[in-house]
Amino acid sequence: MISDLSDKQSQNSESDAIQRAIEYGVDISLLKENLRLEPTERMRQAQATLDSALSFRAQVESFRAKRG
Amino acid sequence: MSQTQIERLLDILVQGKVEFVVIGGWAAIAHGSAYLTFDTDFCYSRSSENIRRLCGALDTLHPYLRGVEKGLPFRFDFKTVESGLNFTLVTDLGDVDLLGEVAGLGSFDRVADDSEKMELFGFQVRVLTLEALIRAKRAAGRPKDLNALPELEALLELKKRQSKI
Repeated sequence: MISDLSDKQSQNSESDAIQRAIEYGVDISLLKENLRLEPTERMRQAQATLDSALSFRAQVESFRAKRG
Repeated sequence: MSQTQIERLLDILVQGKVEFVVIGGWAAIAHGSAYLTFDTDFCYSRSSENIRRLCGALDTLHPYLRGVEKGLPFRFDFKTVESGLNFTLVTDLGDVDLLGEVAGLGSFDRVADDSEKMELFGFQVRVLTLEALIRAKRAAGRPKDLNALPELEALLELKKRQSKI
């Protein structure tokens, strides 16, 4: 109960921009995590995730090609 | 640790003494965005000297027009770049977009004024500011640009709060 109230108070105190982003589906916790990193680390992480996504896509395409 | 693609691209441009600003998705990521981007966007200076440097730097990456059938007599050289403005390329290091002008901001000088120097992978690199990125996305007005706005505006607010602490 206290935790719920605390969450609501926290949300009410969010700025319009942050509230709009939350309603839009943006994960604010991800942004906060990213802001703790240096820009180079942010880019390195993004590149690693991108590489994984591209590798996954290539595997799916290869699987589809084999299946015909 | 081996160089990532974006690191190698920045390395090549910096070593080639190319005047450029990182814009688009990678600029957003440098500012903290969690969205991924599949291409790398740069705004480049249109001075003759810089166009020569740009062509020289990218030559080893075999740049070719993206989405165009292979085998056409396309050469990414001084004459081509001087007579064009914005290029969407496929290279050995992935898709690269080179813009001589950015919607909502203008030519390189204006974009450079709207950039900040960041240390990325040990290089001093100009990156479009978050405020200018928001202006550019708003001006571009495509659904994918407008979709990015709520996140970028939230980032701007979070950064303002951080700077107050």
